[in-house]
Amino acid sequence: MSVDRLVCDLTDVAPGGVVEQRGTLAVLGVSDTTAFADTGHRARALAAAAAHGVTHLALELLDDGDGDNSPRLPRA
Amino acid sequence: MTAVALSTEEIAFAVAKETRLLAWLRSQSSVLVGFSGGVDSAYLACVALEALGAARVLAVIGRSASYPEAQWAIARDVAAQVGLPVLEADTHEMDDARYAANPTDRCYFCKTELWAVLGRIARERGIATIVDGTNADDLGDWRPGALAARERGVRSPLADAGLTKREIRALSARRGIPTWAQPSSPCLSSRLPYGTPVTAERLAQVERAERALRALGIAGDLRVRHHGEIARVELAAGTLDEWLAPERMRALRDAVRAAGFARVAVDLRGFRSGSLNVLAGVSAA
Repeated sequence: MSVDRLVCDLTDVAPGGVVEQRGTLAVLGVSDTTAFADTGHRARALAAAAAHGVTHLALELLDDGDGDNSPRLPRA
Repeated sequence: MTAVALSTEEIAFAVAKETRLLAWLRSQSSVLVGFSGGVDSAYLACVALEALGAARVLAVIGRSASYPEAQWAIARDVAAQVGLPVLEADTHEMDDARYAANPTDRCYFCKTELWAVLGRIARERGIATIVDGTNADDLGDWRPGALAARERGVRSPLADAGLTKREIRALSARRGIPTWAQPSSPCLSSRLPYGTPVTAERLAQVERAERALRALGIAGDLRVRHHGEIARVELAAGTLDEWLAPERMRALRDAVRAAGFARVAVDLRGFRSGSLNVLAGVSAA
């Protein structure tokens, strides 16, 4: 799996997102998570990730309300 | 979970299987049931009770750090409600380095210990047959623990009768067994990816997180998978729209963090039985 290519392919559903790879698990950090409450949006993200061999895509629940909502995940 | 929707034909088919199960149980002089308080073993114990009577049935709960406290409470409640003779026995699989290393056949070492302990109890009490709650669906899963059961002569009458989980839930509902709608709840070690050592601390962390999420109102399928500092939460797919809404998401995150995880992530596909088997690339035996 190429993390950079995965991030690129996730741009439409997770703009500005970062991905941490752990084997075939990908942890996605994104500042605005509201769209992920929609089934169709999740399905698009899962499809994009699956094309890169990701078996598990997890959305990290980042801090909010502290003035810094930006993803802080390291790039693998 | 709402009512198990089986057609009239499916119910008749399931009842016929139950009749075969009853007949087999009646052919035994006595049975010891490996009892977790889960859907399958609760149903099996209740049918055994009908077939043989309380004097010839003993349900035994194997207790260890990998057995959730909440499940233990359910097991005791179910036994009390249906008049099932029950015994609790400590098991020590955590002391086995082969188990604690968490290989893909971890369950083999756990079940070897469990059936050794239950086998001793059966011998001491003159109980002829040991049975477990393996069902027909389980036969297609990766279940190295089944080998340990076979080696110890443990019988799996639900699987032998061809009873599936769905049928067992439906038959349990017909009998008024309170576990019929209960989510499956395998041991806590199943939340740790293979290769991550099983420790009492990690298991307690997972148990605290799942208990906190239950307290938020999550009633269906739920697993907190332990990925080091990250908790990956698997919820029933049908509930993700609700739990990924901002307010709920914050509550979920804070509850899991309070349980001792630095980071919290929600699996976007939702709950999958055997999820970590997929991650490890292992499949059915």
